[in-house]
Amino acid sequence: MNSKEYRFDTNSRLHVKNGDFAQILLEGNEIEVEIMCEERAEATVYVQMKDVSVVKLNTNILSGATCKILLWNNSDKQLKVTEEYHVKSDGNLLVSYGELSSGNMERNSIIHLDEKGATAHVFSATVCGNVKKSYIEIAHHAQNSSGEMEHYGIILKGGQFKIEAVGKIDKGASSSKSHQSTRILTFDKKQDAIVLPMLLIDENDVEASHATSLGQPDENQLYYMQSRGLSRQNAMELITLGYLLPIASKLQNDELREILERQIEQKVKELWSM
Amino acid sequence: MSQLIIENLHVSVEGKEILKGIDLIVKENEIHALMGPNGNGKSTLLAAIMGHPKYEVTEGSITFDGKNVLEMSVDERSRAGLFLGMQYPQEVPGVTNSDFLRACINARRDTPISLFKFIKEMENTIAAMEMKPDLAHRFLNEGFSGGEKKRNEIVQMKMLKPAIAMLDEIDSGLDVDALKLVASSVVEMQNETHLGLIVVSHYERFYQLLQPTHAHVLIDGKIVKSGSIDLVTKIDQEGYDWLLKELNITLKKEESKPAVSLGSCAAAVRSK
Repeated sequence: MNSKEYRFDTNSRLHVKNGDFAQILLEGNEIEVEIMCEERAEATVYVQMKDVSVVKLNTNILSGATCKILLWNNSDKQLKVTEEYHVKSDGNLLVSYGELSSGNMERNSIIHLDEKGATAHVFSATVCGNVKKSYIEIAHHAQNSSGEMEHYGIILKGGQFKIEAVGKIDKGASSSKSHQSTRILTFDKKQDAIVLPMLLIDENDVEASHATSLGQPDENQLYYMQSRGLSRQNAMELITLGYLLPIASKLQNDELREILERQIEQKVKELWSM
Repeated sequence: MSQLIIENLHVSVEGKEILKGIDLIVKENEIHALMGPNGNGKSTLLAAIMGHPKYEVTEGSITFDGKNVLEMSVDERSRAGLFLGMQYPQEVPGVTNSDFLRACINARRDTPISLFKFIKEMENTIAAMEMKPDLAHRFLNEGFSGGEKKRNEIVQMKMLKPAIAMLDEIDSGLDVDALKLVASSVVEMQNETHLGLIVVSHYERFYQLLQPTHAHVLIDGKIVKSGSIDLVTKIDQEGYDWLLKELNITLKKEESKPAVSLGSCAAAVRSK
């Protein structure tokens, strides 16, 4: 693996090649970044957003390439992110969002599956005690394209959370698949959580589904866990970690996984000691 | 010596009295078979001892090693040495078996168990219960078959080493080989730790493997008869009718829910 570190404070471009592990730190007011993943390359990109207010990200995944991207929001400022992705034939995109920051966040992300066989997998893990609003769309423009979204969120007292998750299949994009699931845990009555799953389908021969759960932790689960000696708080911590920890292994990099797991565990400890 | 003492226990669920004065003493090394027709309070008794929030104790006392159990939270009861192997173990997606058990063990210790020691112990226990090695990394009971869930309850019991364990129909969902395995694990654990047990089962074969020291029949919220393993055999062969006749009690019929065809209103049918 070819590890490279970058720090961008102005508009920048990045070519990623086969075997690259690019770590990008974004610091500045307004930054636009273009990323291109070469044909048939397998590459990983880790983007940390720190002290940045506006981010625009344009990404192209060329034919046959597999690109795993993790956007980690460390910004405690108000953050606005606009993303556009284009995935070419048989290209694979995995984009994960780690949202543990205490700043407000607004995201608008559109993933275009431009050519046949293109796939996209979106995964997000969010802790929201502030205002976090996302619009995430996977647009299928070609045959045999496949899109999947999984969103996990922990909403705290005073949090305002909204996610619009859209799977859109154009006419002619036959044999495409669009699936999504959203699991939101709330811990208080005083929060605002809105989940809007949408499937906009203009083609008959497709596979599509969505699933959503939103609510407080199951009392039966808590009783079961307590009956084995865990305090209610310990049980809540474990359930919360279960929602958040999987994002740490999305880039399949052990070193990074350990760093992120520590950050998540720290964050969860903070939450429950409040 | 570990001792669980239940005196004159009355328990209600949603305002309805289920247990109407239970007296029971369980000491270490003892196995108490708890029998009785369905819906007469066996599971209620076990859940009330464990502290399920739905079950309200209205009268009586539970003490364990001299401590007032009714004043303890569910997790305190567990840490004090009580264990309930449940009839329907909950699924908890997102939490792995090993993370869960390690947290449960650490909740009982001042310093956390070493990862190496924990993994070794967990692997040995999983192997002893003839379960697949990936059990540790699977989410707690999620997608487990009925038998796997029950065996996983025993894995947890073995790892947590309670002083008094209650097993609520732990045998249902187990095939014959698994039943033998569970019974022999329980007996083996008892030899090592002097575990005291309350066992609810409808399966005489399971009791024969366990050889209970005491047997009780619970009808309409009361223990109406106590005895030895001979009582288990007699009930297996003759049912409860002789006992009902002897004690001159009639079983209350369970509220039967009428079958309702799709397309008609269930509430309207039931109210007729």
